Amino acid sequence: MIGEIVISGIAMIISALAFVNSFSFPGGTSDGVPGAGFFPQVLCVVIFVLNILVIIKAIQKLRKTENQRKPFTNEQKQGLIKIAIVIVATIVMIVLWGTIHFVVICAVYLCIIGVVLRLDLKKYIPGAVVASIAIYFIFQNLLNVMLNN
Amino acid sequence: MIIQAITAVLSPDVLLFMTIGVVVGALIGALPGLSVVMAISILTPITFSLEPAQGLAMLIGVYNSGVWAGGISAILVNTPGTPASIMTTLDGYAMTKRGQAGLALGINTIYSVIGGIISSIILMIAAFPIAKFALKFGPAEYFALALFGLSMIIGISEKSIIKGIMMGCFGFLLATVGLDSMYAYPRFTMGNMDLLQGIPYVAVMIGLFGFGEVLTQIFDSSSVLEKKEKTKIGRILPTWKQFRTFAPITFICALFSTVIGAIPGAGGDIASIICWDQAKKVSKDKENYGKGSEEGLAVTCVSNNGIIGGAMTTMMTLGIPGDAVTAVLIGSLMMYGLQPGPMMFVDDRPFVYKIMIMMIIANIVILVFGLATAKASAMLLNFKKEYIWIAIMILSLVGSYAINNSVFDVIIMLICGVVGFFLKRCDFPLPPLILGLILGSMAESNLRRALALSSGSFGVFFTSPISLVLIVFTCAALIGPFIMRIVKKGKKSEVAHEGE
Repeated sequence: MIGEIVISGIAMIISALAFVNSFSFPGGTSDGVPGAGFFPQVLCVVIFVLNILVIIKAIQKLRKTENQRKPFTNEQKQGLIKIAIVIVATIVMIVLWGTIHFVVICAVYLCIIGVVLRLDLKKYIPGAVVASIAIYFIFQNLLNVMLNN
Repeated sequence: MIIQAITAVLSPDVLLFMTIGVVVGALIGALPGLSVVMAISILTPITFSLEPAQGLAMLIGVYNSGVWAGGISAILVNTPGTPASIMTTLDGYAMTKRGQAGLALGINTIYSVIGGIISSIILMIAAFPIAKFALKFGPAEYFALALFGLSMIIGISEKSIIKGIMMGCFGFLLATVGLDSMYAYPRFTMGNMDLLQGIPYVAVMIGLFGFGEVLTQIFDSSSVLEKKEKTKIGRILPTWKQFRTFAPITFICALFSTVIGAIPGAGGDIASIICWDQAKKVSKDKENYGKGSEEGLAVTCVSNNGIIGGAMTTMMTLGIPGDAVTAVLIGSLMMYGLQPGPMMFVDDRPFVYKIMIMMIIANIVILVFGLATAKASAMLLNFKKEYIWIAIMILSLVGSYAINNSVFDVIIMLICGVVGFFLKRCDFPLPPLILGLILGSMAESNLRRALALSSGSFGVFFTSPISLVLIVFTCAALIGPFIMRIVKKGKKSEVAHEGE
């Protein structure tokens, strides 16, 4: 429920910024045809209002379940750490994309994910290297995707 | 033209890609948590380098097969692989417990295929008249149609309609990013050249339904399937007598589910629930429904795949999706340079025939594959999920890159994946966002065109009968569920009072 409030708050900020920004777009014609900003402005207002409703509902729910809320369990904390590592590894892969050969970054990326998911590394690492080479070959040579650009 | 289409679809390369699609769909559909939407999102960019017929054959194979295979885990482990197979668990799992898993898998395959073929035939019959009628549409009608497409949000909003509408509107807002269609003015691009073409919806799709879904499953690792004990399979094919007994009710359910599938927002889960419930009321075997009735299972299976033809009819003729999968398929067709809608029946008529033939052939491939692998399908469920997650992650990365050979698309995919993870955790439905992103440009450009033609008068949307009817339908679809909830609440409180 707190998450809903945070997400709705962010959506409201985005819609407010977009609303203000859309006034810089070319206006409509004198015969009433709307300009480039009309559609985004209407949408921003609708999104803003709907998010207020979502926040009100979330606060009501929050009050009702005040005593039933539970803190994060250890498993959930572990889950969050796992996905944080996966996201960081993906960001690093994207940053290095094109600077280091795809097979190398893909193999390292797969190995990191294997460690995060606690797979049997003795069997997994050779598989990850073979998979990286296979992906490179299929996409680069058969599907004409320039993976090393 | 039809014979040319049949020849093209029956060519070895198209059949090969369709078979690959069927196998991938079976794998994805049978594993709970992995959706057909996810599979099509990830495969779309990968199929881009293929011929459109090959690529679409693969996606149609995945779509039909994924819905059918959802029944496999429902029958064997009492866990529906897809929402459409929720009712399959009732009779299917009861049959497995009785030692008739093979027969249940056989019924699932045969009747899913029957449902798929009947609905594909209806697609062939109904699509052309609907498209011919839709050719009369002008900008006002198209804008009203896009709004009507928005009403689908109600059906795919899961828990909260307000959140669904909000996400749909946010998708509309995202669709305004890029060059304005009338003035070619850059909107919300923040000086980024990559954003001039707009937000790449395929990357968004892959992020939300592929990468984001994997993040969710890693976080919620309790969803991993435990290894099952060996299941007794037994015979697979139903008897001729059973086949004759089920024929009338399953045929009616196939027709009915096709109609349900054509209604935006009503998916396979709704079709199978309605058909199972109605069939139970008229069946001679009603007391066995839910306790392992072969007829009950046949009805749900025929309804699951029966919706596909209906959903495809709405998608192809009007350009609005019948369910979440067809919402993603619109994006796939657009990537091949095809614009779903009535004009597709004029500009790309041969391809329309190919799609229709593909639907039939895909079901025949499923029949052969499904019956041949029924005994082996129990092994599918012993797959380690971690390997599938890794495959999805790497395919999401490479697939999003493959759209334009651009790292920018990979960044968009990652952002959408992370955002999708948090949105999903907070019960914000994701399909309306994609729907809004796809329908957004159609809605905006036609709204402004209609207003330009009418010198700024909004009356143009109410003077055209088609547009007026569509707007009325949209309002009814958006307000209806709220009224239904109030009525339900009222009835519940009445019952509570009577109880006191």
